[in-house]
Amino acid sequence: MGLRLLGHPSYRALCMSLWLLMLVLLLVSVSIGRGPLDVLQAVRELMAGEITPGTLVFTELRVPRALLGMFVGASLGLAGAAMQGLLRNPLAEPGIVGVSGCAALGAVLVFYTGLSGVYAMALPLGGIAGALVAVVLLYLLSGARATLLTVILAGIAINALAGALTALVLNLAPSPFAFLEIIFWQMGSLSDRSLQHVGLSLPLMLVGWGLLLGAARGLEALSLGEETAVSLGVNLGRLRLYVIMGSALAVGSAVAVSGVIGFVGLVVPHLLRPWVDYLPGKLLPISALGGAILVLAADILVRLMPTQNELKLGVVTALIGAPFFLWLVYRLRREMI
Amino acid sequence: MIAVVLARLALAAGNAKQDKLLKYLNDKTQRFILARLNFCFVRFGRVCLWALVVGAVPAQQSLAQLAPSQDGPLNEMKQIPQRVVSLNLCTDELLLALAEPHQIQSVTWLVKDPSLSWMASAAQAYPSNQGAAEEVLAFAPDLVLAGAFTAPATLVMLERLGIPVIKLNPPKTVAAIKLQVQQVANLLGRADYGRRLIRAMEHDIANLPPLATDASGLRALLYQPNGLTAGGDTLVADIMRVAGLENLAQLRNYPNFTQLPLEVLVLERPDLLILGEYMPQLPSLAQALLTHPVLRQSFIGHKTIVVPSQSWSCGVPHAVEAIKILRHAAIAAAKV
Repeated sequence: MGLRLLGHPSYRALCMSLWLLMLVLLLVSVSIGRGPLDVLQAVRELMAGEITPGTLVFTELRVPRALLGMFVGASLGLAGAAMQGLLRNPLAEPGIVGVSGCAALGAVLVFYTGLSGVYAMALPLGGIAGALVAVVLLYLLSGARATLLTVILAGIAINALAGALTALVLNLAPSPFAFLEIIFWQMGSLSDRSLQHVGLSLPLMLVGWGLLLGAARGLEALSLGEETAVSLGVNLGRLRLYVIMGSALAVGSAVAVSGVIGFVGLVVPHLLRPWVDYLPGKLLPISALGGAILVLAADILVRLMPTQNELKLGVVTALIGAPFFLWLVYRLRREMI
Repeated sequence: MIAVVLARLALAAGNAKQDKLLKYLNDKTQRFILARLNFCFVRFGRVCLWALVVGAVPAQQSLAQLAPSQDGPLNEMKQIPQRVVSLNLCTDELLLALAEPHQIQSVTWLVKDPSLSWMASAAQAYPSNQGAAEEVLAFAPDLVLAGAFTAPATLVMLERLGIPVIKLNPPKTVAAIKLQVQQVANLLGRADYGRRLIRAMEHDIANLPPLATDASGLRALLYQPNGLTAGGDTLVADIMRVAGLENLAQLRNYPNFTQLPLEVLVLERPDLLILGEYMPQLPSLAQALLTHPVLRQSFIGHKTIVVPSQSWSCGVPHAVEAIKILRHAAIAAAKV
């Protein structure tokens, strides 16, 4: 409420400033790293068509990392906003309700069996399949008229199962490194990813974003109640399909290349909602921007921290997100009483 | 607090029962039964105790077990052991390299894997163990060889049952390998054979193909799965030194095994990139780092050498093979 007293920026101004912030963070992201790289010189060399260690680090490590941060963040933010709209539940978030966890399980299954080594696209497809199972399961478990509690309980169960199965698969995996890599899959990281990962995940993410943004009008109507939405001509079945498929595609392919990065889809829509008059339709695009901003910022932070081994990204987002989640629970409890 | 009390109770119960039984039981079969009983009573207590103690007991304890210059347990064996069980991949290799076949009772399952050990074929003849105290007891060993990091609870258990356990710390230099080879050879009553192995090592090192004069100061950097590089105080670093390479990780003062971000590796431009492979055929994120496109592109026309892990993961005479591989790579890299 306090925010609104300051006066309301127009939607266009809000979008512009978020875009601007994201671009600034993108630039900061490519210029930060543990290696002593002169970014300006690398860019100059790149323009001149030279290939030097500097240009290779820039194009093969820094750029993919920044791009993935942006795309993964956008996917998580967008999916969070859409799921909250569909389930009409402020706590729905890919990480909390187990969609990300199941996506990681799917990716782990195809990666450690060697399937993704034979057919690269199997990696994002595995993630998407896992995410899809979770979204459908969540929808069936909690029902169309989900209460706060059923969604969260279903999420806990799905998360627990996905986590246990991931650990099982990693322990059974033949590679001696596999079982320690559960840290990557459950905490997420963008370090030393490559352009291949961008190429694998982006096309499928784009399809997911398209579906989710296509659901904007329907979600707007749905916020007035199901009957009203139907009377406004919204095809509920198609709306659900859009959100379910869209979230699965966006979150599944994101998690397959970055591991589970939690709480992004929770924090971002909540922070932005008051700025768009609580309209789900307007919330979707800016949640994508906000998610990108949050993940880019967190990824910059882990590289700046003076830890010997880089902190996992999910640690930072959880440090921000979990207290936020607690505050949200506290506020919801008060509203329910 | 509750955990402590429970642990004490479980230990006390275990001890009382064990003392009573010990008076009547003596031969090996019965000792085996006893060990089973002991497990039931003591395991829980041990687990609780170790959970409490493990954080507090520093690794020095295991270091103290084997002080090479002093009269450690290595010199205390009264008889030459005839039934030796090894619980660690590296002690497996030492045992297989030094002991008479009839002295070996069991080695770990790891050493039978050709991707882990160069002695896999020699190891096939012996029963394997997975390092559990129960398994070890079944072999009725008169000596157990363990590594510095072998599960402490298992070793304490074995010692309590009167089985001599010797912990061998991984040697961190080529010179330390020779020392340990001789110690273990003496222990197994194979002193002469040990001396022969060491002479062979020294001969191999002395007869390495010479480095060209301008090849000195060739800067090499190791990159292993998970992005690990080896700085000072590691056997790998000493092997690189003996091979005539300058270890870039040591120049940069990286301690032990350090995770090296890929971009640092690329920007450091080592003259020779040493890739440490470890089961490359099995998919893992750790292994995927070694095939990152940036490595392929930035080391085009550049000298890269792959050293299989089994040639230097253990401080055994076979480490000479790693020295040879690196010396040949250094000569080739100097020509480029």
